[in-house]
Amino acid sequence: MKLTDIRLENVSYIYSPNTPFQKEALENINITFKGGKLTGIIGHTGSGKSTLAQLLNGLLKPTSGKVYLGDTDIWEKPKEINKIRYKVGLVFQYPEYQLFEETVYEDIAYGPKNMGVSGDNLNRTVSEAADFVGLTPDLLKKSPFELSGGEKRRVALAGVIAMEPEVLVLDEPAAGLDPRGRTEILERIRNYQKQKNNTIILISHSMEDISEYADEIAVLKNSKVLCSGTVDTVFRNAELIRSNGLAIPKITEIMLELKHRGFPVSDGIYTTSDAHKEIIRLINSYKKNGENNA
Amino acid sequence: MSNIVFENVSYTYTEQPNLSNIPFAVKNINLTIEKGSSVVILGHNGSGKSTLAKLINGILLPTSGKVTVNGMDTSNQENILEIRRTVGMVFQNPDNQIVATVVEEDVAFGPENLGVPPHEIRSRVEYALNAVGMSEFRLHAPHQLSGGQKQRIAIAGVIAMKPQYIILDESTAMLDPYGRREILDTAHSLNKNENITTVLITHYMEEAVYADRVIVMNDGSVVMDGSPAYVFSNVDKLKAIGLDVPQPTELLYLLSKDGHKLPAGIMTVKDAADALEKYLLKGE
Repeated sequence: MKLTDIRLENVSYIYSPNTPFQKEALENINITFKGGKLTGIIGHTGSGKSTLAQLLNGLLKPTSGKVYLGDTDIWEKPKEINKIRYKVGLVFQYPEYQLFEETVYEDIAYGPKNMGVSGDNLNRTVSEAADFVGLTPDLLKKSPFELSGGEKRRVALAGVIAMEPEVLVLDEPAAGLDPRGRTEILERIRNYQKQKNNTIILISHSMEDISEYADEIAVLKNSKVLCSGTVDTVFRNAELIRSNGLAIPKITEIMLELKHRGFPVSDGIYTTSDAHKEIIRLINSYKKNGENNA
Repeated sequence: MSNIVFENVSYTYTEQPNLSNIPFAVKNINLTIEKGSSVVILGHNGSGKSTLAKLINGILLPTSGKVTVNGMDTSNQENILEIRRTVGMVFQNPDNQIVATVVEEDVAFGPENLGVPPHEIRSRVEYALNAVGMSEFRLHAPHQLSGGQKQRIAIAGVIAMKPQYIILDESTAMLDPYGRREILDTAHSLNKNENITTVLITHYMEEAVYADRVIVMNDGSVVMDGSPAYVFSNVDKLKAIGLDVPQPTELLYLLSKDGHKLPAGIMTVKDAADALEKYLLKGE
């Protein structure tokens, strides 16, 4: 399985250029999304996240700059941009609103069929995709409109996975789902990534989700990349993130607060389970100190 | 009588209520929501929380039992208009609730339909936009606003009808963290400053932290009812029904399970840091 990087070089995007509504959505972006990694993109509404997503699979063409998929400039042959769209799968926000076929099977099969997949291959790719998102075979015969919200969302996700993209871009895949639905879909995405070793780009508002699931993070602010790198490097800049009006995980805030109060807390704690271990370590060291002093 | 009362209320979406084994969306609910309080109803999808909301202002009528608003029975058709004047409702999708092309006209839509005289409409619109902090956008087009701003306009439209109660039915679900904050702050201020009873329906745990009272629904029934501190001290129970707890609560819960004596029901970063500091310094 090859690992496909996707790279933006000096990319800017302007909506409605040369009109009174001109708006620069992205300004001179340079970033590489590493092959085989799950990168989380975080930022406020209006920071340019969704524009970035659409540039990655060629739904939007950069006003200036280049997007590379592996070594290929995706706009080198504009007439063949469709091929890029098969390689970079994009799952929009609230994708369940885009289901339209009569059965779940047909809906998942729509993308691969357009790519020319048929017969046994089509059956295989549809059932494999359905399996990845946790849809049982009996659901495939149903109308998508008989399903729950979380299930519909997973059908839409399966429809993109079925095209077997090298890169999967997900715009807020967990938005509006309840805690159970959110965990389910994010776990499914993580397992898919582990098995396929794909490049995944996950756009989210939730620092908690990103810190739990991502290998790398890119923070967008006012059309620019504020910082990027591994989860560790980015959250080491907690102050930078906070001072730019973005939240850091609550658990990291607790650890920073304890550090601020003079406790020797380690850096780099972003999940509840890590914090749990760290506090136990602290408690034990304080206990020893207490015994020594007594 | 100034409250909302549920007496043995059950509701089913199926049309054959005489069959046995039919699924009830809510069953045997007994609940009183006092005027002036701020209540959060928590539950995952399908727990019955939105059904509960729609029963309050008569969008749904109980299959059995009785719902009253300030003593008015919702199943009496003659009361419906007055009940909907008393209980305003804000829904999930901001884009589905805007009817006009200018913000102030949108806010005026409700009172116009109630037959409020024009000069009073003007003052109500002013008051409502002010209450949600959107006065400077009065002449804007709603479609150019952010999700949170649109939702505040929807709330203003409800406030302009001068309700005593406002129900926010998952009104924060489609918003980003900033938009959610806007709506929570608005609801909080309406409750504290305008003395409007707020009922916030959500599956985000953090939104329950600042309420007076939290009601947890599961499978059509009320499974917990009390202060946020009480509800969040029952982490096992919340997890068992598929709900999360805020990270600070979770951390202290994990430590307590290991046998460390830390207070239950802590919800904020500061309280968690305080409790941990105290515990560490004791060195036990």
